[in-house]
Amino acid sequence: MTALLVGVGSYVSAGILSLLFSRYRFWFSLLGWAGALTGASFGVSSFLGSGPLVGTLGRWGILGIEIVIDQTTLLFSGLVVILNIFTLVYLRGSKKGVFYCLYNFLLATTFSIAFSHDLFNLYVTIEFMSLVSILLIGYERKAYQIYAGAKYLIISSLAMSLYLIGLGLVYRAGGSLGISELARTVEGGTDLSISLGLCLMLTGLAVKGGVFLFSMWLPDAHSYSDTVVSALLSGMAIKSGLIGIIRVSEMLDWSQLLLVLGALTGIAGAIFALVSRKPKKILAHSTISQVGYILIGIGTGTPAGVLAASLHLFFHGLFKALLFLSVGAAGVGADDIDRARNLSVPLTSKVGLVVGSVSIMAIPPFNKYFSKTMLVEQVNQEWAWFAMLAIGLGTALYTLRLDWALIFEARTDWAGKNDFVVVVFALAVVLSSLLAWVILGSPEMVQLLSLHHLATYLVIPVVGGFALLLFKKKLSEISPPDFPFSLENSLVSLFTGFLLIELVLFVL
Amino acid sequence: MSTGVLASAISIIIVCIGVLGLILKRNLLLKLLSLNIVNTATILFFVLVVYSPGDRAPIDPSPGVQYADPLPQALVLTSIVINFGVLALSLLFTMVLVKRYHTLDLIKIEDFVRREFEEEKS
Repeated sequence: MTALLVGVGSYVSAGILSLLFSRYRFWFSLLGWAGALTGASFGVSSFLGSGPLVGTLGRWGILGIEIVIDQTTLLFSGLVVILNIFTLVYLRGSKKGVFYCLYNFLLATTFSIAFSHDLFNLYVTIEFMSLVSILLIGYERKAYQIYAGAKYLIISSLAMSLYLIGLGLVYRAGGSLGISELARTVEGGTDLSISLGLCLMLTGLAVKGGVFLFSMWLPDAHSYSDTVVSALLSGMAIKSGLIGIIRVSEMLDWSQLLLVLGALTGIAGAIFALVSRKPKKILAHSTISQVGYILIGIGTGTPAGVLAASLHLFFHGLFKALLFLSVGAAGVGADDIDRARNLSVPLTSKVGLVVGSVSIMAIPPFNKYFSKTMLVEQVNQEWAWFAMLAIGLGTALYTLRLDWALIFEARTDWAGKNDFVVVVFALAVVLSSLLAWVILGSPEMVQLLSLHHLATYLVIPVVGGFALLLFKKKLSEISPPDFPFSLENSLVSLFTGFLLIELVLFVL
Repeated sequence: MSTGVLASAISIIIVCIGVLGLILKRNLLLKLLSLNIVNTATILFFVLVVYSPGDRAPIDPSPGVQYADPLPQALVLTSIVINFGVLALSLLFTMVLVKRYHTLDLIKIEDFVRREFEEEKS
């Protein structure tokens, strides 16, 4: 409980102070980071002391807000703290006080989502998070950013209305807002109003969480905004929806549905990433694709599967933020990768790109390898396993295409624009695979490093490389379609997705 | 059919009307109005569904009296405030877009935006 109050309190006060005394905005934000680090370490010590904990905030008994401290909480709050320090040093006072205020508020809301175990608290924090992130997307007041922000605003407001309708149905049937309270009431019941309500809530959260068909606002919002904003949005803001799905799925068994959604999201995201031509667009679509793994992890329904999903969520936040920062530091985010010969990329960004892309391809000693093999061990349906293989192959294809353009074809800029934060961040990403070892322990790690896993993950990039050599000409002739991502079509696809959920749950 | 069920069915119909407006209208302001209809009807639905009648307001706790559930009021107030924030922000964004392009037609705006983004990078 102290963890939540200290972290959120220090972020909020850092935000207000950096707005009021904008001369010292960097130092106030640094203090806010220190406070959040203290809060997160309180959380870790409480977890190590007494294990997973569900408590209530306030002295109103059942009316209080339920909070939770478990592995997902700690991983997500740790992700917030780590991304905070690197983006803060990357910014280094280059923006005004207002930006720092919004930045700290975004961190505060995402930090508090990690602890939230209460349906209405989730609603309020997620809604506040999206308001703040919309202001950040439109911060430079360029017309395309304003458009992307407005699209996000309209779709997410509609989604949260659906969430509220679902909340009403669930509250009426369950009589409580705390998730562990509700899970006891709902236990084994097949009440129609509860399952319909939870479906509506899942739809709302899926729009926030970057699930394909639901969050078609994502590619524009993440690729049109400023570098740090895209890194934070892709790294942690969309994860708040996924945290919500993890929490809500404690109440109902959704395994089949989440596996279907996960496979669809992963494969569709990879296809769109493959046909896109701008580095930031590729990274935004790749975020959707990676969300697929996390959904599959939640869909396995076992505690180990959820842990693998949380671990993947953490690692994805790190390497995706690294990729966005390296592309943004080079200033090539919106250039065409087919004309990469005219570009120049500084050496530090190339280092960041190399580390980020070996991580995203799950090459063995790097972080994503561990979360992904853990997922593969937990999945027992054969088709889901093949879907994961397809997502992996797609990931290898688009990552290698991006790397070929930005690392081999682009000139190396030795002199200017080198930003060593990116290199330090890359080092942190490399070291983060040690965290998997800390969490899982040695015997589990040895199991994950077994020969057939190693062989699979070394073969996938090689196959992807050869496929890319064959299809490179064809790929550069395709231009990415824009129409699925216009406002009207994204609304239509949202309701298509909702119908898909209903179909999978009630008919199949 | 009781009045409560009928009323909540009507509020769901209003939600559907709002959603249809949101999808079918090309005008950005009308889209925002439809969004507001959806949000308001959602709150109406929430109140109707969650409403639990009691004899007294939950202020003075004494045993033996059935109190109305205090939670829905707090929830509804919060979500009204949030919807107000969303509406204000989206009107601000619309204002910026209209000042820039002098049109409310969303399809034209999307066209302009794409073109401008392509041009700025070259």
